[in-house]
Amino acid sequence: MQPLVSIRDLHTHFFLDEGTVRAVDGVDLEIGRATTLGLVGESGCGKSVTALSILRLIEPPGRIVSGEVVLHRNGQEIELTALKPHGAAIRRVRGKDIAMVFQEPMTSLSPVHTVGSQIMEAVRLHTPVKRAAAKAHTIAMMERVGIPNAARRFRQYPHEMSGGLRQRATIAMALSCRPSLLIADEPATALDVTIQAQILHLMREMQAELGMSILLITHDLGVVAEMAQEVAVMYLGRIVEEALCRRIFRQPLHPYTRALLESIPGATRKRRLKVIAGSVPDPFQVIAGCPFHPRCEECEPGLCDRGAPPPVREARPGHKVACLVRQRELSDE
Amino acid sequence: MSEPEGPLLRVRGLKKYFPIKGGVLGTVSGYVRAVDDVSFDLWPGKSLGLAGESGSGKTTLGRVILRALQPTAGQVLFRLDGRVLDLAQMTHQQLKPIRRHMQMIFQDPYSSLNPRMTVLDIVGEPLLLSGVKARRERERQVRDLLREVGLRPQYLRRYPHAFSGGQRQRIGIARALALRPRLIVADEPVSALDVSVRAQVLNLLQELQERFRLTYLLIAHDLSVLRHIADRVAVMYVGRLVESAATEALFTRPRHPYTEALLSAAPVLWGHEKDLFVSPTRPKPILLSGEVADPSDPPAGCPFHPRCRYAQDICHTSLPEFREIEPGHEVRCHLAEGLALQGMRD
Repeated sequence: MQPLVSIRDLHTHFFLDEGTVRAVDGVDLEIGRATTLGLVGESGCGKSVTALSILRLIEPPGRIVSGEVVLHRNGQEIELTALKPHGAAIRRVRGKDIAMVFQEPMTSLSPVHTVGSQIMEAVRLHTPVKRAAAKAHTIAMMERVGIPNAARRFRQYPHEMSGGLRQRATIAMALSCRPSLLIADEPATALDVTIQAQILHLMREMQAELGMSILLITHDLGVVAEMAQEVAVMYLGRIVEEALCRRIFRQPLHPYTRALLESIPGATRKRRLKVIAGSVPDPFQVIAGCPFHPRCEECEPGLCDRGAPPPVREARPGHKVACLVRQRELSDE
Repeated sequence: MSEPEGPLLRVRGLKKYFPIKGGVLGTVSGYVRAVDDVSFDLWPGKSLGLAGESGSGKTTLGRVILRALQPTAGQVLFRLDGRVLDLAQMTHQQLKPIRRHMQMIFQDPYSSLNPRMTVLDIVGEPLLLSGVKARRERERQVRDLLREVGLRPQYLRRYPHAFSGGQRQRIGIARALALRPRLIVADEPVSALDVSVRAQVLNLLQELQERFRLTYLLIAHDLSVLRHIADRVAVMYVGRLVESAATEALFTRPRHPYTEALLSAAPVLWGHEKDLFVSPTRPKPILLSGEVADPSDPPAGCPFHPRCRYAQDICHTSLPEFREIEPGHEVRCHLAEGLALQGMRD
């Protein structure tokens, strides 16, 4: 089956006075239909910039340097990277085909307008309906995402709502035009655990109801295990491993993925947690060879520390990894 | 053992109410009961984890214990050199010599360090205030402290902005350790850090505890962090403790419905020694309806009853006692004996 969105060799760089940050540096990714892809990594790995690049929301000094993002809509191929960043075509895609929910609900809510009017604006922007019908649809949507007393809440401002209710409102806004892809960037990270569970549950329900795909961006491997069918792990602007969720958790291939999993408290009973040496390097630095090699336990001098970064290869059926050591081992088997 | 000793910290009936003022006259129209009748013991060299959602009062509790806030009622009994002092009753003047024995580690290493001070000044400040006036001696001690927390002593003259989040947290820990305190209150010490760095800081906290026999009160919303590091865990809800037990007992055999829901709600990877990444092995999730009750207007009876799936008539009207249901396991629930709650797998 054709994917919904294909990203090919995407490079998004930020040109700062101090140097160039290669936030996304050669990402290939396919987002399937009616599925959830988890994009995992630590802060600064480029996961959010990848998402913003899909929606063409990169502002100067950032720029998509090369690569393409293609949306497959009803047999049509729309190359998002070829559209004008402020043009009408990309604005039709945003909200209608692809919607986004952020970690902090106030990123997408204006403090000076009522919540209802903001959701209604999104509805009317993309569908030719009368005001009364749009309002009815908005209230129905607010009820659907579990906002109690939706008719009264329609007239409230964001500051009158709790964090959990605000996040429900942004989900209502994002889903009001039935997008085929929802990009959720740490949608529940800022919320308490019991509220987080409610929001994740709501997203799963809405996915089943609307048949949409979700690109779930998170640093929390627990959330991914719970929500995603497929996982891609990012490190320093590149995908280092990609596979079905079960696979990655049972048999991680990349040393970075393995170390990440072992450093989670609770996933191990050992008294000391596994530690990844050092920290994520300075973003201006260009690392020869594998970007992870300075921190990697399995680094082989002469193999990992020179040349171009290792390509992402299928090491086992359906399981891709960008690690020369692992690729060699598995091809020897 | 040289002498029999009691708990380092014994908290009894501690309350902190914040008045709600309204109108032009600023009359008090009510109280936010941020901490309401909290009691627990904390033994030397041990870690007590304090879990709860935002607004549950866990940060306020930490601050009242350190007397950053004046308690409304109750006792904070701190054992020092064989004497027991009630911190709740002491004046600021009386507290001054005591403060060096209790320190705090904060959540946000970006805002808790003064950007205009060098590492030497940040870590050396408590030393200076406690009378280490000679600059060279202070510098020597700061170098030692930096080494203890895993930072290079060469970094002495750098400013906080030159450090990563994990390194800044280490600076904060070095400052807290400077006066060799007995008690450390750590408020969400790793929640602002990335996964790989979080493990480094948790390991450091454990190493320091073993080396200096530190006693920790660890405030964290992340249960997996507490399961890893705490000896006992207490769960707070709307200002009150609802359950307290040895860590493994609380995680595998919770006795309060709120604890059960918290454990089931956290999407966490729980694994075993050999089979690390089986996921997720937690129980079937229980979705709590609604949100945390308002501490300025808590519901009558048990504050958890509107969200509790086991609630009976009695829960609507009468507040349960915090009582010991089995040795070392306390719970605030009328129905605890009759409930078969699910915990994490062992």
